[in-house]
Amino acid sequence: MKVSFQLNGQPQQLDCEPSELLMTALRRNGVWSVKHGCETGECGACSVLFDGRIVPTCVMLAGQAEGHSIETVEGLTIGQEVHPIQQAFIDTGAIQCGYCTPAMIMATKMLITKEARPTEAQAREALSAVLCRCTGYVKPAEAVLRAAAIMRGEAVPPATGGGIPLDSIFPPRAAPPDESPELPGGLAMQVRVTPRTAIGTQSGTEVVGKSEPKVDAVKLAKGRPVFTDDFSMPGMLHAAMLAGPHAHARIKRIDTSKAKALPGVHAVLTHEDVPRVIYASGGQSYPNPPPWDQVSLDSKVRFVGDRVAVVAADTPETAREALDLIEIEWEILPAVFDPQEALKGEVIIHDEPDAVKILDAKHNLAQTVHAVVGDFEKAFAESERRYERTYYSHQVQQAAIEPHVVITWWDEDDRLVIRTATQVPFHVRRMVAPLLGLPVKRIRVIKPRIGGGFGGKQEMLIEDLCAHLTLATGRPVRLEYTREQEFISSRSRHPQLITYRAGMANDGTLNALEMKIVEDTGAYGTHGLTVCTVSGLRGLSTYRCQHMHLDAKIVYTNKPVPGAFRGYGAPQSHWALESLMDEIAADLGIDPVELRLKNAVQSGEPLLLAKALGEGREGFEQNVGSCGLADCIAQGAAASGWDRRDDPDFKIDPERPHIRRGLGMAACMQGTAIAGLDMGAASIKMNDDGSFNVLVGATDLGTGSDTVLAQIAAETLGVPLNDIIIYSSDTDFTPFDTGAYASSTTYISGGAVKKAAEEVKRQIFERAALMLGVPAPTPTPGPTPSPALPHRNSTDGGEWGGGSGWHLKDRQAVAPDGRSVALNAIALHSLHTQDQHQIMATASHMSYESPPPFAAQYAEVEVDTETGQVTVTKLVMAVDCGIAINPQTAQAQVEGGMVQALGYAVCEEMPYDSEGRLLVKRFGDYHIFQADEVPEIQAILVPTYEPSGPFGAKAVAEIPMDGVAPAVGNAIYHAVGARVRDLPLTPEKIWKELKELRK
Amino acid sequence: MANRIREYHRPEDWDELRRLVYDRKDIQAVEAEQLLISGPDSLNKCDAVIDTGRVLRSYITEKDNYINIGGGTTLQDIAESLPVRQLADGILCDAASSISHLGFRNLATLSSMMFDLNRGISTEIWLALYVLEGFPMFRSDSKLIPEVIVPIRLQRRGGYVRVARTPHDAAIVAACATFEIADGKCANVRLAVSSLDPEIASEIAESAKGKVVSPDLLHTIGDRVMKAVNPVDDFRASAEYRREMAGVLAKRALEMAWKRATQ
Repeated sequence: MKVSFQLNGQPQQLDCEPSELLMTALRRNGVWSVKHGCETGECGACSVLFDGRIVPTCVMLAGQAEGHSIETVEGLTIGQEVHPIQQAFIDTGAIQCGYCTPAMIMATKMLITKEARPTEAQAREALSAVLCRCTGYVKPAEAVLRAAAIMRGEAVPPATGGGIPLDSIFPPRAAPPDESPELPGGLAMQVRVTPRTAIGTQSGTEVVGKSEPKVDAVKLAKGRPVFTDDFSMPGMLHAAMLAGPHAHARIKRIDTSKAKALPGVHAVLTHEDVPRVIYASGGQSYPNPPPWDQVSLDSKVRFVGDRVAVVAADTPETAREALDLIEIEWEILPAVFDPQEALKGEVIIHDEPDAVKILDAKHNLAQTVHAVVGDFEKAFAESERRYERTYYSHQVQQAAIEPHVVITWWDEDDRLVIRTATQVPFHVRRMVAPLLGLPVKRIRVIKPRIGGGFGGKQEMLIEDLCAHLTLATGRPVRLEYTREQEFISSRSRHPQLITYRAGMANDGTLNALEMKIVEDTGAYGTHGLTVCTVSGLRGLSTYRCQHMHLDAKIVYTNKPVPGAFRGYGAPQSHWALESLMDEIAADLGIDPVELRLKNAVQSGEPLLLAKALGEGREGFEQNVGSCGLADCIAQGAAASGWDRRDDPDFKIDPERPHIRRGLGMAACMQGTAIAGLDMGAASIKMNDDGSFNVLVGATDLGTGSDTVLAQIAAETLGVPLNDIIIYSSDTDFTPFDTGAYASSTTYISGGAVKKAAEEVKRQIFERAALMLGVPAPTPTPGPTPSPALPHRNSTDGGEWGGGSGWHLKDRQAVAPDGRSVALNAIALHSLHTQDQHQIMATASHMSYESPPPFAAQYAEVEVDTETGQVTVTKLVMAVDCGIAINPQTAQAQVEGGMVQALGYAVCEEMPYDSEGRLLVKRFGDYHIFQADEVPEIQAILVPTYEPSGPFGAKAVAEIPMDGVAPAVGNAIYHAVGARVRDLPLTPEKIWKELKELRK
Repeated sequence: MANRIREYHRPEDWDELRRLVYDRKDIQAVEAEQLLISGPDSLNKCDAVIDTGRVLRSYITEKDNYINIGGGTTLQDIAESLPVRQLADGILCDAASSISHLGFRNLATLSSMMFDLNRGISTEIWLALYVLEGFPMFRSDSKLIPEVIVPIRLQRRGGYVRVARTPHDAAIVAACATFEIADGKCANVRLAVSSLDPEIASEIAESAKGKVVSPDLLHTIGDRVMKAVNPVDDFRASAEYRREMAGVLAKRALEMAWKRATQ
């Protein structure tokens, strides 16, 4: 059928099938800004203006467009122009992964067309049409108001806010950090700043520490085809995966003949068609941490949603139709969904003989973790106060708006190309090779822009299936999960049952702390061991204690598989630990803030369990380096109005007698990369005009890491950010990087970029010296290793030109005598004139340290005493992430993380029926926060200087997940005295606690 | 999805639509709106789609003390409508704006709410329409609603309350109530609560007629609602919680409406 409509003001006629969705029809015709996020109209990534109104196109048939007008972001501008709305989104830092940005921009256009002077509430209502998992909507709402002001013709201030005052942090240019008197022991510098959300941008640096616009912002704002699925190949087939309908069942017989006979079907693969190679799907260290308990396709399913078969066909519809034609005779097996029950061994989930390193398959025990410091039992028994509490943290989904999607094909050299939305391209290449029977050298993995990951894409999840289909057909194949498959067949957060025992002195000193964890790893053990290890490390490190004990069990059940998820075990342990601290404070009659300050670890103190709790292997001894926790607690308290806590006028609203207000807080500590394990590399090449190509294997999944890495290169090389052309990542062209996880990119990959840039700088100085006829400079020595931490490392290990008078500034190499040579002249001289040489360098970086970022999170709530309904009215987070290389993107990480954590706290969950079927399979039921629901959010960056990080940086991406849930739980307790110990904090649970209290 | 669908029809009027529904015995047809409300599975077993975009019209008009709302009117139009806002303190506007997000409300029509068979997103619309004495005009030749007519009673005051995990999540329980006052007493009381039979709700509300609303009266009504309600268990809440909340919210909706009526 033909459908005629106006597309961006031009007549358009499309040939469509009657069943074709408007979303797919638009994308098929090159309107790539319309993104697929779901099939139910609930995420809004596919939204367009339809007769001037924002509507989702995934729930419209193409025929419904007949005679109507459609506007998309492609129609906003021509060529390189940037529309004021797009510019406002760029300037305010409202773009993270950018997958939902085109739809947000169109929602903004709709609003401003109707209302030239919108309020923030109107801005939020307009943005509510589009779910964003990255930003927390703070900066997008700011962007709407800014765009409206620009379009009204008003002058707007420069949008470089969100920074931190760095001038007192950075040492003078070229002075080594240990000369600064404010850095005792070379370890830490704490600077007190007043609470603020938008701060100045002055610093001793030119690019680092500035809120530079993201390097990929323009293309994302313009909706250009930069994501995995924004791509098509001639002859490409469409794949679909059959998910198992039973929680535990064996395939007795499988017949694919009818599916194969369906016209348009090119391949149907089951366990009978692909080699059986055992692997673990977690995209992390080599060798992968145990257990290894998966194969590409098995004769048994272990959860509802497990892989059964894959089909490749001419169209997605045909592929799905073929799935219905696969006949399977099942032997239904008993299933177990509770880890405690699973440990009894009445059901054995992994009875296959070829699984590797399952600790006790007969009792479904995948792995265990144990660690001991001092003598817990003795110290506990001798403590004046003893506490034992059990907390439960639940299963939740990463819910990135871009689903898992991969396209595979053979290139002209018969090498397999895998274009995939992954956080770990190099791990994918290494892990997929043996499954396909191909050597690594015949595989190339390309990572385009990613529409959010949050750990869910730290997995080799569907790449093997798609590749198997390309191997079977010889054709390009595309495989994308539906939203339902995202929920049932991808990854999630590990549920944990955590029992703490704490021995305290009457004055609030922590003497003994024990943590027992039962972790549900679902049907497979991927990430199970390492997540649990991090839970133990984070749950036993925030507070100073000489006697500690960890005992953890990682248990199989017949449920969908948890994996990596932002925070990686720390949100679970923080929920328990910070609730416990609040309970102890209440019992001892001590202010919760005071109790934490009394016991919190400080700079120079050892992290006693760090060596015992490496990730899947022994770790390394760690001391706390930079530590701004006390400042975070103080600034967060001030911003949240903590001093109102006991004011009856705050707690009770006479106009609303059923409402009680409360304030709660939590202290947090995360890691920065995995010590001794993560490694990143970077390659930098100088071009004829003095610009630089920076190639990194690091993976920007929307966090802004490409921008941060480019800033580090630009700062070191004395050029503006737009002289850096950064590219990530492609296993053929960019150097190795372990990938985007463990909050490692700025610290590890940034360290690599800095090292490579320093080497390029050396080559530039040499060339400049040759041109000027003066001696070349020598490097200044790097920082002296701390005697306490002999392996302590620095990213620079010496600075070229430092102290000698040579430096790079404003695209010039400046000699000690004041003469200078322009970088483009140096490049041309080096490439074309004399002793020709390509100025370039590659460097890699790893660290034996994992300097913790710290934070304090505060929540203000209103609790309805009759219904238990909780309204979170304000969230504050003060975070010490070292020096923020880009304060705006760092702040955006904090804001987005807090809103994601709020969903974890109050509404997101993965409930099952008695047969193990997930009950929420769409965004509407799962419910992630939309723009017009989020509370006031305040993010405060508390700067410290981390000597081991590039320009003093450490991590920020994960820690926002850690403290919101306990802060909200503690605030509820403060408001109404109800202590809920299992997440999420739903109205019903609070109501039940209130009922108990009334008895 | 929808791989059986081979025909797409866009009838110009009701006659053409009726012919498609009744005369074409060879096809199973669905309305395009079902895709939005019921999800992709709604189209799986059908041969044809009927696009009702030209049949169902979008309008909100006032005439002879009635507001007429076209079946093709979107929930967002209802939420923003000033004439609808004047009905019992805007409870229908509030109910419409609480549903999902703006994009969804821009696409969902009043008529499409008929297809909400299992998700419960339309519940609050029906509760509000019930207490406003709105009546949908069903077409006998289809399951579509071409129009809803709501009487304008300016003396009617309303209350609308809900409990949910977040402000725009589907309500766990919702309640609507309206009052008209005569001689300082309740003259016309209407109440609607999730999972409560409307006839039972009417009967319970009648107990307030001719009385001054007092805490005792509200308590009694709340108790009766709690006993009469027939809630379900689901992932959002248990039946037990819903039962208790039905009582609480019935009281609150009545109290809110009464306060507005007596201010």
